[in-house]
Amino acid sequence: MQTNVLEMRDIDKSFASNPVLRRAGFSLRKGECHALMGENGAGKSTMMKILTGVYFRDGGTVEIDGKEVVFNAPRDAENAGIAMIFQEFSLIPTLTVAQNIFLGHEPKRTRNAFIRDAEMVRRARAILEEFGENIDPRARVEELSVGAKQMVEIAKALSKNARIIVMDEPTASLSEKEVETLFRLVRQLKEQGISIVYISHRMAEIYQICDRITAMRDGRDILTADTRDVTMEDLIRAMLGSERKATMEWVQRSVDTSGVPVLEVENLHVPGAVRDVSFALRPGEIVGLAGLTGSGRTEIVEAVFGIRSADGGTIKVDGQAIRSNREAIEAGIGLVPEDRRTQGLVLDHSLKDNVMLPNLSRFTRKSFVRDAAARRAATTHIHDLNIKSESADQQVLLLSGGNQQKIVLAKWLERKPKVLILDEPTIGVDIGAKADLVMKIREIADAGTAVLVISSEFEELLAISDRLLVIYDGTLIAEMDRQDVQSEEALHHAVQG
Amino acid sequence: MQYKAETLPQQRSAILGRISWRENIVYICFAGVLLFFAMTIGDKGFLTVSNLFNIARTTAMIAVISVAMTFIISSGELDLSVGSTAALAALVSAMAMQAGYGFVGGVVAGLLCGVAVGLVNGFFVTVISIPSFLVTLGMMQLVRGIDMRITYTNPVPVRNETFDTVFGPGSIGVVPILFLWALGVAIIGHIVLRYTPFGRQVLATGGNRVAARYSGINTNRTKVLCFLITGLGAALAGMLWTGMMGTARYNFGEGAELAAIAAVILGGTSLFGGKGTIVGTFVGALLIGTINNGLIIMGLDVSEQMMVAGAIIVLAVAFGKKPAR
Repeated sequence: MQTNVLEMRDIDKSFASNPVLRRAGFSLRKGECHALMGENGAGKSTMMKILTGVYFRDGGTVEIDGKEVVFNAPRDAENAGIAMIFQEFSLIPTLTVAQNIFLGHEPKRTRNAFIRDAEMVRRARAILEEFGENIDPRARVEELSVGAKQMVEIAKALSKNARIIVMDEPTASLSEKEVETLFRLVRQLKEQGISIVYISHRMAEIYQICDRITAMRDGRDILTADTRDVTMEDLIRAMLGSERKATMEWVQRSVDTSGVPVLEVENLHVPGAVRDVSFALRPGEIVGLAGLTGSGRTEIVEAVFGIRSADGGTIKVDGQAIRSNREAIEAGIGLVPEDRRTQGLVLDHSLKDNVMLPNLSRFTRKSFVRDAAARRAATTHIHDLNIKSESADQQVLLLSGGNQQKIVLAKWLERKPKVLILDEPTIGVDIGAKADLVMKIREIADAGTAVLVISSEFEELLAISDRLLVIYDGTLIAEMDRQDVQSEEALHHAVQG
Repeated sequence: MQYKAETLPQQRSAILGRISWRENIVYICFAGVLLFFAMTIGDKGFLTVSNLFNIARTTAMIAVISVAMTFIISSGELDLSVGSTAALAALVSAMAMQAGYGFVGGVVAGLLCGVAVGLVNGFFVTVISIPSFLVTLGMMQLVRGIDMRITYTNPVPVRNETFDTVFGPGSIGVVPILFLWALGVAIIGHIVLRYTPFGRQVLATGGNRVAARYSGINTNRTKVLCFLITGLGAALAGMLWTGMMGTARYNFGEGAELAAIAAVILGGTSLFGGKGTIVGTFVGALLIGTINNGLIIMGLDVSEQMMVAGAIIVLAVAFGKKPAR
């Protein structure tokens, strides 16, 4: 009989009479890594915010080590040994590693007036060395890699004697290698008896690192079980409900893709990133660009889109050479970029204004902008893409990641592109929106657009691609038909070079 | 993001939550200030038509600069060089007319000064990627230095009838010509910012430069155009100053950059770009002019005027903030 360090029972929570949690439960054993999964809006974040004292529950109980606790503020949860590692790190870039780790609880001397700098650095080094990280406590945080920043964030939690650590999408912006380091650390934390709540949309990782899984849907916990007893099928069904699950499987498409190539890329060179890459896309086909982070995938598509300068090679759409971003867009290339928040959207602006942005010339008559027409177009996209938004005038900042991604897609769909490029379209997107996006991508291709997709999730890449291009270290090392790829593992193997 | 989505229902439920204080504070403030002065000094001449038009006349230059400033701030940049550019344009146009180039020659020479400063600012901000605060801070000093050197700080009188009529202190009916200039510039500015593709490009560039670039917008071109607008706006304001005074002076527009920024921000434009309103700016400029005028009539000296005007600006922006959740 293992003891539960944490037991949340029958948690209710509503926002303005809109129930977000309905008698939801969650438990955590000592020293386990427990995955918490579900679509956005399923209640994961709210559940964790109740645990960390950000929100107060409407009903139910929270027990730590068998004793009921009441958290009125984040500070209470922190004192009880609960820490949360956020997606966007809560570190101050201009301070040093040690200053960040001990921010707010610095070791002091002389009646608490002065910080003991050397002591702080020594203790920071001790924590970092304990998990085998070679990070200089005196380095400024802004100089660190994303992976190292996350280590510092975790060290910060440990310096406050955290026993329960909640990690929200911890691998979202990590490279493959950094993910390995993180996993090694997670295992180490487990050995020390620290329990981890691991929130992620990435199935492969969950199976690799988590002992148990809880899946939530519509504010309830639908399934809790040992990882080894749950198949991916079961898990997806629990999160989506059975009817929506079907979209994530490969379907043979009946579109004729034997036409003349619409996009031809020859001998593309991008300084320091891409060497001698050639490929072609035909109307109606979906081509997956597989490769590790840093393999040059993004550089290739940005060069094709004309926003990154290439120093060699030719790019042609319908036989016409493309030499600039302007020409690329006018020729009918659209790019849904990797980072929707910084590259895809003006977050403070409305849905309509964002959709309008690449289409200004089309929504202009006699040098005046036609807002009403743009609003109608945006409203059509809201229905078509199943965007959950009050209206076309809603600020996109207020929408969830999945809905934001759909808006970025809508920007380019409005142009009816001949070539649509999607760079990691489903990253940080909940599984429901993911299914919507996959369906839409198929629909776009069926209508004759050539689609090029980059994704780190090979399961998804295999579900939608007719053909795969494998990129390794800036070169195209293989090209294969979907039918010739036996399994996800085969693709994993291929991208390793 | 999800966190914010969760708080949405609560926001919506409050009826007052739909009114944006930040965007409308300038109108509330303007009404309040007018009412206050009308009650306290209404009988001391504040409310006379001639005084109200006097306010409109003296505010015209700041209003013109503020309208232009709205564009650059909306694009996410700042232009501190407008005051000295105004003086440069005033001096150069006056000198050109003195040298016999006539009205058209003088005006063209003045506007070219604005174009030149705008291009220099735009070049360093976009091509060399120096923050606009630093570039235009430097240009503010540099151009003011030029103003002093080319005139040895002497005034340059203008004796050109056409210039006096077009930019002068006269009126059409009861409406001062200077105010008509400001109103015209504001109307054009409003239409351009609100209803043209260029306006959208400015707001998108200020809202998120990277996303604008990935949407096919040439953000560098947009920014250079905005610097040209502030340059031209400043140049026009400089000539209006000359027209009002009959003489161009090297110290025209000292502090105008700060008054203009205050008017723009009071009006509801975001200091960080992406959100701008010319109507708000125009009323913001009138508000600042009205406060100064009222305080003079109340008999406050310059030091007191500055303290009160400064305090009102800070308080107005503070009250205009979104109520804390």
